[in-house]
Amino acid sequence: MDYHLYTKNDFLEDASVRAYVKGEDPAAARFWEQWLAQQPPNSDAFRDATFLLRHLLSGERIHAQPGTAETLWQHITAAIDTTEATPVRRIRPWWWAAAAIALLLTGSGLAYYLLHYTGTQTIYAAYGKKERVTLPDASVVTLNANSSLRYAKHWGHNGPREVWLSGEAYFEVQHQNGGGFRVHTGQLDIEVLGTAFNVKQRRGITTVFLEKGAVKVDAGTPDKSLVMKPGEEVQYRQQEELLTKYPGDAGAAAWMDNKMILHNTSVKEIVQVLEDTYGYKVMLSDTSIANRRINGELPLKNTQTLLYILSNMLDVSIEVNKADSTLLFKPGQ
Amino acid sequence: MNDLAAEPVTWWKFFLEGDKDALSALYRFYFPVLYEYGVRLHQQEELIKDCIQDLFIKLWTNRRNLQAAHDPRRYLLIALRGAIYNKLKQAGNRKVVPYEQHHDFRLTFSAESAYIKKESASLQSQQLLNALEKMSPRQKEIIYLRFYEEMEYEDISAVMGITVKAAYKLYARALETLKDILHISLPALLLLLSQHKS
Repeated sequence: MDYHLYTKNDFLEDASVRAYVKGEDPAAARFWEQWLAQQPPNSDAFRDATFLLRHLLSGERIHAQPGTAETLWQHITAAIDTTEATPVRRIRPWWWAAAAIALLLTGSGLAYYLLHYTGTQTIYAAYGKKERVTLPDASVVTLNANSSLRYAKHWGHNGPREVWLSGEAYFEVQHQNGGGFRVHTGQLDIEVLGTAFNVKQRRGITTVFLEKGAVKVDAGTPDKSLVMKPGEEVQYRQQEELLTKYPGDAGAAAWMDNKMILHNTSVKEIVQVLEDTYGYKVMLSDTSIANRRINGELPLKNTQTLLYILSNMLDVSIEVNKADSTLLFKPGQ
Repeated sequence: MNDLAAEPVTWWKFFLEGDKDALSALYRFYFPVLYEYGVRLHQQEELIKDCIQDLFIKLWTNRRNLQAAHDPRRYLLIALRGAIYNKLKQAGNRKVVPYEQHHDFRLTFSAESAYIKKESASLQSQQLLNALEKMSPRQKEIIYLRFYEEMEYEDISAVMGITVKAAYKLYARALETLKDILHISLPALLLLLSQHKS
């Protein structure tokens, strides 16, 4: 964009100039201050535009009295609940007859349909292995190790799209007008628009990290559902039946790149990942190691490298017993 | 911009499916916008509150006939405008004129605003504020939707019930009336700036 050729009106039409004047965007402020410092030939046009903008924006804002929105909402819900209470329209008897006839006519077709279209497919990723699954609607699921995904072999056009996940997976869902996409984890139902997100269900805790798009997470009871924004993480703890939302850790899906991002991560969490995704049984000769916290990045591609780096980071020696897949962590190298 | 709109669009989708929490989220998100626009169009705050209330009850009861909205704000502003008009007609207000001819839009420019406080002493600033006050209600409305609500011309035209071309024209004419003031006192402004620097 060649701002040196901008006229006053061009500047008025520029959203970043408006953001600068409104003081809403520190990045825009830095940009325009630097731009002005270069003494561009049209700095007068810029000053005219911002001068005008400040006056255009000087209008007094109108706000409702505090509490107005809340009071009004109570009236709205009260009215809605009253209309909800009216009975549902009864299905007319001849509809039943029509439905019965239709069923008889399609009976033979139905058998064919059941045989060919109702089978399910289950993809399983073994310990230490990842699997990439393309679903019937072209959505792509990357299954992390020790995880499985089950879904119907055939999805009707614009019909419901549903998958059942155990373990951890990253979803890149194709947007489809009208047709929702649901992920069931046994504890949580996740309803999706075209979107990318990570789901991790391990040890009775399901964590959903939303990268882009929008999803709704539902733990089965009416009060336990949340709408997520990109960058947020939702965690459901089965035992406590607790659903919480907080700013997410962008490293949630780093396993896709064969990495684990550590932000003040406890050794206990790393040990769980080693057990959950690689099938090791980890033993600590000194349990205080479990509470240590570390930062950095762990490469997951090669188990030997991973263990070597981990032993250096923690200053421990790691003994591998291949016979029963046990790792023994001992202090000092 | 799409990212910003993503969440309300999702709420809208879930609301259409019968999710009352999503309607509540939409209401909480858009109430300030609707209230402010409504009161600017029509000064009686009680009437605007009634209109917003009716609007959301109607949204819920009619949700099965509604479609996905790519911009809920645009949809709601248009719906509110219609609700105000119907309410006034219902109340037997004889002075009701079609919205397109309505002749009021409350927008008072103030030298006390944080945006211009430091410049309020300048003559040019005073002149500009006076000229802004003299803009027609329709001009004030387009300025409001464009600069306060950051709406695109296409959406502005839909909300104001005019063509996109007419929206551009209305906007250009509003600025035209201000041009002279800026132009005349530009040397004065430069003088001020140079004094400020030294």
